[in-house]
Amino acid sequence: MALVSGPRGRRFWLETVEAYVYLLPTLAVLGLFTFYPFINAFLYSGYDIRTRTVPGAVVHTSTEAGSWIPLLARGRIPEELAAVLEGVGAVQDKLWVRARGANWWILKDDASGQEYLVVQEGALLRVHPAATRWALDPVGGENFRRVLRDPDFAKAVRNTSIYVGVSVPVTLILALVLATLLHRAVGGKAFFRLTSFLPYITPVVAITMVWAWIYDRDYGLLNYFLKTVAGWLGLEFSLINWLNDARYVMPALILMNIWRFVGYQALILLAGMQGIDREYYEAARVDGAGGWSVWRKITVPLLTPQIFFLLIISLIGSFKIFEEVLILLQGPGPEKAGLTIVYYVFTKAFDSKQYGVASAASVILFVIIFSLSVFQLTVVQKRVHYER
Amino acid sequence: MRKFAIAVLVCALGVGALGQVTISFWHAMSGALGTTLAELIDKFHKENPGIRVDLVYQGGYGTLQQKLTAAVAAGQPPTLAQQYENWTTGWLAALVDLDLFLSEAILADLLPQFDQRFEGRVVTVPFNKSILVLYYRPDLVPTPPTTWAEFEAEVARIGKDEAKGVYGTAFRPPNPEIFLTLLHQAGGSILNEDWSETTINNAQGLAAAEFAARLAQYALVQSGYISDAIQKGIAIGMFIDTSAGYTYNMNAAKTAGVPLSVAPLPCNVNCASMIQGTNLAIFSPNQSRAQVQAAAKLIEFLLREDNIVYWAQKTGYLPVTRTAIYGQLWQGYIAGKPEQKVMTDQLIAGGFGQLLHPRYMDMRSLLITYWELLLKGEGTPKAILDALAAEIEALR
Repeated sequence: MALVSGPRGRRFWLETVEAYVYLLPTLAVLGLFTFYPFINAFLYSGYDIRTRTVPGAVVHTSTEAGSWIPLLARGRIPEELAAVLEGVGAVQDKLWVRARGANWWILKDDASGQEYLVVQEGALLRVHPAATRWALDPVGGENFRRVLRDPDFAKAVRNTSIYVGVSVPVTLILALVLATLLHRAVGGKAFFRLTSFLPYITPVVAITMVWAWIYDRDYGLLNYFLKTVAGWLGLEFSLINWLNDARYVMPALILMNIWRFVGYQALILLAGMQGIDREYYEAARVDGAGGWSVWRKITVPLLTPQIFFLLIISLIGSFKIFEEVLILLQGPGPEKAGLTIVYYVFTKAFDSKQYGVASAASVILFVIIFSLSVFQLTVVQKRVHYER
Repeated sequence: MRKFAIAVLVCALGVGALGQVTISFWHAMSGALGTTLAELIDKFHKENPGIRVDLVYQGGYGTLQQKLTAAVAAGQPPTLAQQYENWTTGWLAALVDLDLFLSEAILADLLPQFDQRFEGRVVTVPFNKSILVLYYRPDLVPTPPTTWAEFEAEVARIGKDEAKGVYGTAFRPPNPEIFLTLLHQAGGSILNEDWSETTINNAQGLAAAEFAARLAQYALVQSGYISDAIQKGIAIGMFIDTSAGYTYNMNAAKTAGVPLSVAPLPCNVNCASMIQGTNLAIFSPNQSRAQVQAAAKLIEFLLREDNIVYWAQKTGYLPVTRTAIYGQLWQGYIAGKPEQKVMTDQLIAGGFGQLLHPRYMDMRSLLITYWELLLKGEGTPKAILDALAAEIEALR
């Protein structure tokens, strides 16, 4: 037994190591840009984070406030202080004063980059080694409370939910219709496949900039089109200010994204349709089933694995909508009608510099997406038919 | 002999490099602004052969802010960078006290409008500054108003006709600086002097809000730049906008074939106007004293009269020191340029900057929300101000 398993074991481990060597670049990239930020978002959500000077243990206490302070205020270093700092590893002629407040002074040692903080407490001066850096102060659940109490966050959740609730099902239904038509089309299939896929492979920035013009109130294609159609029908049409009227901001975002993703989703569904065994259709025809009932009872049920995949992917993707808002509206839009959850996270981190609050909001977004995905994997997946 | 010459040359270059201090300067000045800044840096290099400035364009203000945020967090900021006040409050601890490195004379020469202290510290000096002024159509408004009452009467006279695209004035909800200017002109403020009380909804605040609400009835209210509206042929009698938008507004008017001119803001209790634009600050992490001293030298160079005036002439920003703004160079330049003179006088008449509160950015976000409600008439000015004050109070 041992004779057989010995070399097998070695080979098994060699192959395992080899496989991991091939996986290493991917794991490194995923680790650095996905797992590390992911874990940190959780960590940061429990802290107040700011750049501040953090003091270490006191290394000296002086009673020389009267002689030290006038010198420090002018950026000079008292001899006694320099000697004290030399005792803890500083280089005297590399020391300089870089900042001061009402009762504190920060010195820096160029030889090591180390900082020292002198703090006045009554008649005493205490000297600490110090570091100016991102400091994390635990605040418990305060960041979550702040997010959940913020009316802007409530608005962001509402806006994002509307966006997801409309764009995901509508895109999927349109994609299903488009895929069915493409599946049936006799000529020009390749051309339509290519054109319907183009929006998906075009960079979102380029798409959004074009759509910004399409939505322009005075020169936009969309208003021109609607006006023309209204003219044919003899109806009144007042120009819609798509991007500056709170009522139309969300429809504008939804419309653009339906257009962007419908082709991609249709192609996935089309591939699924082409993979369905022809025998099912032939059997149905023998039984006298019509086109509609074949589509409803054979095509759609056998497409549920693809539909399910698209549902999960587009739900997660839609919850993360961000670039479109940034470029199309260049802000949260009128009355913050385009404020989405990720945009909220972005402004909290980069405008307000409340990294903890931003992390808490992103954790809440994760919980929302995670719960919906679990729901889909447990409840919705039961309705998925896998062909055997 | 040739080998010897090369050796001497290499040694000379080596010694030269040894004595040289390199500093990095991150900025967001694109196009002609960036070119002018690069010209000034070239001049600085000629005057200071021992200092090398790595001038790095980081993209727009948003990008610069993000890169600085990340760089400070990583402990690797540049030596010198452009920054808005509300960015500075986020990394105040990482900045060098400028009054330890700049001469007293230079700091005393700054216009009092730019005397900004962060928790009592001098950590920034003004750099590219603009101010809000009144743009008006001389064909629609023959004499620009000088008081709030005149302003309101003129705006109401022009009225609002959406079908024809005619508006008395225009406001942008994402630009609450206009409201802050009206607030200051009425003698109000967001918080009191020591930040112990929210004052935005007091009598002065209400006067400003009611005035804005009355003007809003005749206003084009939209998020896009006003120059875009002008370019499309929309007629706007008068509007308040930054002096930095001068070129854009003038070009838009030219495209639309309409006249446009600049006047000082109409005044109320005072003639204050909000100052916009960034400051310069020196970072400490990863920088030696020699680098900080070199950066301070560059700041002193940029604040020298000849350089300030050159910068202002080429970019449209305003001079920031007494010597420069009252000096012959600038006064001579604006003598033949009435519009630049208006902007200069507006700055001299009184300017105020951002509130240096660490939560100002959140307050500004609230201001945008409520400024928009006010402009759209969704609630009475009093109800809107009270709701705004309650939310600011929670941040204070």
